[in-house]
Amino acid sequence: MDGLATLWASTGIANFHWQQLIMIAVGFGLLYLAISKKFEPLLLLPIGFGAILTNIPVAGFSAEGGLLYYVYHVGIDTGIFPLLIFMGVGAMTDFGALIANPKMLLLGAAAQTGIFATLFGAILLNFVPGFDFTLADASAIAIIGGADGPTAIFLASRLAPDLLGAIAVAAYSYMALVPIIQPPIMKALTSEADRKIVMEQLRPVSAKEKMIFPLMVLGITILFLPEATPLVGMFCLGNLMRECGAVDRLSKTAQNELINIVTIFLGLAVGSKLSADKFLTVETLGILALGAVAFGIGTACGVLMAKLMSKMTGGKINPLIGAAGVSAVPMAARVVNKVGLESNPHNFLLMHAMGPNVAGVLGSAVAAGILLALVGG
Amino acid sequence: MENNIGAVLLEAANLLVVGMGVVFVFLGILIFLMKLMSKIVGGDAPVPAAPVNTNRGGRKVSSASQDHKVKAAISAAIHQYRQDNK
Repeated sequence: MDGLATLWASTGIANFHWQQLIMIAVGFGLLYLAISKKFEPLLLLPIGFGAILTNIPVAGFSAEGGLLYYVYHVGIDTGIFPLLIFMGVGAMTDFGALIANPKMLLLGAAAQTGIFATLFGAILLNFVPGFDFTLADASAIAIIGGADGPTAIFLASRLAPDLLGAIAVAAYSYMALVPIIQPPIMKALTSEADRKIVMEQLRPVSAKEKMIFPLMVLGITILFLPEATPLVGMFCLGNLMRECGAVDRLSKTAQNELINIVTIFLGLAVGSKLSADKFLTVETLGILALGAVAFGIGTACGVLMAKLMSKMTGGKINPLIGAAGVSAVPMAARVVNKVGLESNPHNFLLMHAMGPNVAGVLGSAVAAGILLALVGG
Repeated sequence: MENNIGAVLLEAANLLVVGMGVVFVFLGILIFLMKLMSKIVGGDAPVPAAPVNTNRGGRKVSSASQDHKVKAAISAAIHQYRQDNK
């Protein structure tokens, strides 16, 4: 009889807390979103599964010595995984559209307003009882507005590791929701005539320009914002591998095998942070709400900036492309293209939107560097 | 407590202004440098000629085989379209 009791005591059923059950349900919810709804499946699937694993009683995946504990420690505590992903993203990014029209960087900059405005909003939330965000927490939450998964994870791992799970989930969920969040904002801020503006074709960009570009970005980051060099440096390394033409094998590995392998472990490690005690708090709700606000403000500021530029150039710029300034490559650019087509079925804005889109990646990396430099210190 | 939040709020507002300022200045410098680079390197270099030997992988293939690929893709698309619309 004693043996039976011992066996019972070691079953999952006997050891479950209701919070763990809820978190496992959250994990399954993420799996559902990833598989059936195709919401950023590459990340949400491992995150969801990680969330299930980490909440299994007795097994101790995330306790010291457990698998997820080590994966998290090696990859996220050290900041290595998001940086490797950033290298892969660099190897996948074609800056041609931006080099052809450098002014688009202004749109990438304007969309970062979402980040800093949300920082303000997160601190404001402290007036609501139950919230207690420090400036570091607020910065990590605000970076969700950069719409850049690896950047958000990197910054959160530096500034607010406790909130990392919620921040990563919010960042990736909202990136998946770009096609739903952005169009109403874009339409509200532009007129039908604005949306019909046809932009002139981009000039061709030489291979040499594309090759020098990453080195130039790295150079000015070293000079002005060394705190951002982990992100920008890895990004430029990937991009240089892509554009120099001498190391195609490395470039291919960075944008395929390596990024895939790292994505699996990054997802699992983020999922391991979805434990009941960290996730089932009002702060998580706050983070989800703030993330949406950050996204909205970023989109709105991008569009408004594009509108201003459109006025100043005498209507040569379609204000819609400003919405692509919140990175989320290439989803945001596709959304711009789609909304543009609704107003004028012959107006393809995709290439024009790619400019601000990749500018947004640089912009959010720069913003992350600024937050690290000013808040992290 | 309220006072404390006020101080942090002020800091956050400060961060908002400084942060956006730095982002704009940084990317502004980049714009300037990019224009300079395009002038020096010569942005009008014909693109199809340049990457022929420099990039064997990825999407940039030499123009001859690209033509073939384009042809193949177009005929495949027409074929598919006709199949679907019988």
